[in-house]
Amino acid sequence: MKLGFAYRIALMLALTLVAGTAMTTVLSLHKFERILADLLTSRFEFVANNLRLDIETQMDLGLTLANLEDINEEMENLLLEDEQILSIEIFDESGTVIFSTDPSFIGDLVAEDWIFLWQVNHNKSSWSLLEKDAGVVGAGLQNNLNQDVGSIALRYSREFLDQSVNQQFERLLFLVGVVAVAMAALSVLGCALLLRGHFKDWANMREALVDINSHNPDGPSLAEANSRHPEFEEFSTSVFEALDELESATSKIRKLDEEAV
Amino acid sequence: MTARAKASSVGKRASQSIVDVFRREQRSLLIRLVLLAVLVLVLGQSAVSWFALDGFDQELEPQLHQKATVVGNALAEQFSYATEELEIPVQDLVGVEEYFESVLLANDDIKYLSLIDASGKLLFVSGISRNEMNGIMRAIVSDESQADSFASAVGDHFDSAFEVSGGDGGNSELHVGVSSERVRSHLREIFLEVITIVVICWLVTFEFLLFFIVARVEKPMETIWRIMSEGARGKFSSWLPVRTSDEIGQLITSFNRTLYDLRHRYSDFVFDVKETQDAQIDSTISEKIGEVHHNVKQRFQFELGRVVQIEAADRIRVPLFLFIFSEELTRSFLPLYVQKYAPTDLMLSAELLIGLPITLFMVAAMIATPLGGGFVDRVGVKKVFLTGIVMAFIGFVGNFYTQGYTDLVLFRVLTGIGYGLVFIASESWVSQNARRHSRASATGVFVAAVFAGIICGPPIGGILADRFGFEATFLFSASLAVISGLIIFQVFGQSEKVEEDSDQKQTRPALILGFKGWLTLMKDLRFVSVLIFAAIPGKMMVAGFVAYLVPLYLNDLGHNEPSIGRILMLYGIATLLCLTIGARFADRTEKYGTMVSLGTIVAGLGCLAALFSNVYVDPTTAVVLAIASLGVGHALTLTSQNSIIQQVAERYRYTLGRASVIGAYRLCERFGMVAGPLIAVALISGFGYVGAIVGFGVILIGLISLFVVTNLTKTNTPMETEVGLANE
Repeated sequence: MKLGFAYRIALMLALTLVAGTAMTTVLSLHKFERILADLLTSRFEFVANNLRLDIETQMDLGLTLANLEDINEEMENLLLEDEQILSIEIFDESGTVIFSTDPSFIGDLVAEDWIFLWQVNHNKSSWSLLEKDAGVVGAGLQNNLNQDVGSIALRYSREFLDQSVNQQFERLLFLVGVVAVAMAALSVLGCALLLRGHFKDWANMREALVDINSHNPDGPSLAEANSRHPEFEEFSTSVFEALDELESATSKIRKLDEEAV
Repeated sequence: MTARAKASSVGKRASQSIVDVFRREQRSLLIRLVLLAVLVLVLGQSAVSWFALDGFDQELEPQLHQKATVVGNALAEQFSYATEELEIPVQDLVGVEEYFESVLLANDDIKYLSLIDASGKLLFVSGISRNEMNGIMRAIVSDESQADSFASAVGDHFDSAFEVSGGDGGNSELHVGVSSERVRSHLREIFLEVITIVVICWLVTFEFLLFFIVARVEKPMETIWRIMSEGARGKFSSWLPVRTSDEIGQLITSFNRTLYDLRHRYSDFVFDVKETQDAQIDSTISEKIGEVHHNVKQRFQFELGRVVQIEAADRIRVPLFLFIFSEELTRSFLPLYVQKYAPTDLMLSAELLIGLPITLFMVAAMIATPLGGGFVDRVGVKKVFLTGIVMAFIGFVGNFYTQGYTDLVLFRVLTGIGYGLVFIASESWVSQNARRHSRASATGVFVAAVFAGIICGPPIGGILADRFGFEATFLFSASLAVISGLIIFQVFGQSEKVEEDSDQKQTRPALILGFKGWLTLMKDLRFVSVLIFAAIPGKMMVAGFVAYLVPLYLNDLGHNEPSIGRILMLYGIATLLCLTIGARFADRTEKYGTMVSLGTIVAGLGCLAALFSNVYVDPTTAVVLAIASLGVGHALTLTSQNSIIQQVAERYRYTLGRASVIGAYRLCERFGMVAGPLIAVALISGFGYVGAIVGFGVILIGLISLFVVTNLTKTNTPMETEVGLANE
């Protein structure tokens, strides 16, 4: 495929632009995902901490974690209030679930990551992580002797997060495509505009060379090229001189040959 | 000088002036295309970024309201319990503001909380003053457009109201103000990163655009102009290789056709001459015919001769850029990658184990540089460059498949050797192909490619590693190295040859610079003065100031990592922006020594500006100023330093070898890299951060004063004229 100069430059600019915008898109989406996850986590942290306050108040009154009252009901209410909350679990220091919005989990061990994060962040009010299918926000529980007795773990749906990121991705992908096409067109136009003098010059020289090849010293293109570039004029003059010289030498030889005959 | 030599010299000068005029034209073409590229990239990136940020903002805002709703509902429920169930009048509630404070402390995106009774009187508020809250209330009441909505935008935050059941006294209102500042600051950060990417894209585009213009326009047109110039003198023996079918390719084809036609007519003529001569019985006629033929040959040259190839220093630019870029991609995450494989059960500290592959890489590159120099002198640039590429490729692929710490170290060392070989091969190419009066500009090509790679690599490597993982980024680096090698293979073609001067054949330089060679170099005042007073301090500044002191100081000033990265990037950008101007000025004046002094003084003065931090400028601005001045200073000095060393290398090309001298210089200057951090540590512990920056400035100015004195004492041995150059 023959590609003109302007198209080659436009292609290069468009490719760089696509690479650049792709990088921008990837980076921005990554940041967006983090900010959104941060906002969601912040919201669910509040919910988990509120629940923690209620539980710790009961523990301050002398109840043990396993004997808390009305906790299941409160957890159920929180689940109903926010459809993004998938489940709420409360586990003890060994990682065993003692309360859950899904009763089938009671008695099970929670993921090791949860226990690790809870233990690492025991001096903070909350901990969080993003799992493949859900986000998890936790709030550590302490009794009135400031002993860590367990933690709340609230799992929320990643669907909203992933959906939002995907929507933004599709939107930006379309946008990058439109911008790339528009900018490629602008590049072709810009190149054609900026280089029109050069293109004209080169085309004129090509035509002038055709004039030279057809031994036409009075060709209009040749005159124009000569007037534009003195060095081209010197070249064309020299070529014609060479042609003349060859012609005259040929006739001299023929003449000598005829004389000999 | 003979008449023929004189004519040849005049012809060359005329040809050179034509080429100079032509170069100016091409430069203006390049500038116009660069402006177009900037326009296209800035417009395109701005459009995408604007729509991206706008979309993010729209998506994130409801999340702030959701947070306000959760907080508001929870608090309102508690207040309702107190007022309805416990029947405490809302104005008699105690500890409300303390409770609000605790909620605000745990939720930094909540700006304020307030409680307002049924009559609209502000009872309790936290986070802002009572006056401010009253102002917000007035703004909400007066803004009828928001009368029906649950949340109102006031300034940079949103106010949401929640009903608190108040029994007989009527319902109160709880107001929750959520600040959008946190989201805005994240979006601002995205915006700044987009600007970084735009700058990187622009640099990459510029590299490719320059390569494209040089390879597809400048060099073919220069060749055409030279052929026209030769043709004007009656020489029609050359032909041009056609590599492209675009407008220039068509023009070259037309020229080749004209030259072919001429040669064809000449061969017809020669055939005629031969045939006529053969047919002659009379030898005098035959001689006369021969004389006519001889006259034609005297005046014109038609026999197909050489293929016109103009080699240029800037041909190395894109392959070198790609190679440096490929290595720099790994820089941002390498310590983390090493940490993954570093054994934990050894007696050595984790820091040492993480630092070891990085240090060994540098040592390998350092040793490979002078060694590679010896090889370049023997086998040529292309082979050494390609060997370097192959080694680096194996290193990158090896790192992709790394199974353990030992593998990792081994492959990093291999990459380091490749790096050193490519580095010295590229510099030798520039040195071989630089014209005498444009040494600094030619060197600028080398420096610019290196700097562009250093600037672009780490941020992009970080993004790639983040999305695709460390290992995949190594594979990406390997692919770039291969592309770089392919370009070298294509661009250098078969044209590159090892210098085979008869003199050189007799006295072939040693592969490794021996003791005598080192002694010779150390006795060369120009070599030593540039090395000790300019090159080593330059590297000292890069390693000690840019890479060590500045990040620590900025961190101390409270800047986060991306912000530190952006400020550090200024050094490279300032260098790149001023490089061409500095190089051209140096070439025009041919005062390379003066440029070295001037550049170092600029860098030194920039550091001394730290004296005024907290007086006229804030500390961050003082650092920015010092970094930018160092960049500008290095732009002025680097190309001139290299030009002086190239001149020295030219002088010893037959005895020590050109590339060996450059290799020795590169080896020695790296002592600055070792000394830099040590000097920084000493200065910081002695004088603090500001004192250390000033200290670096004083060192630079002190050393360059010695350089000036050294060069003034030897004015009788002019720097730039004594060298016999190969590329005249």
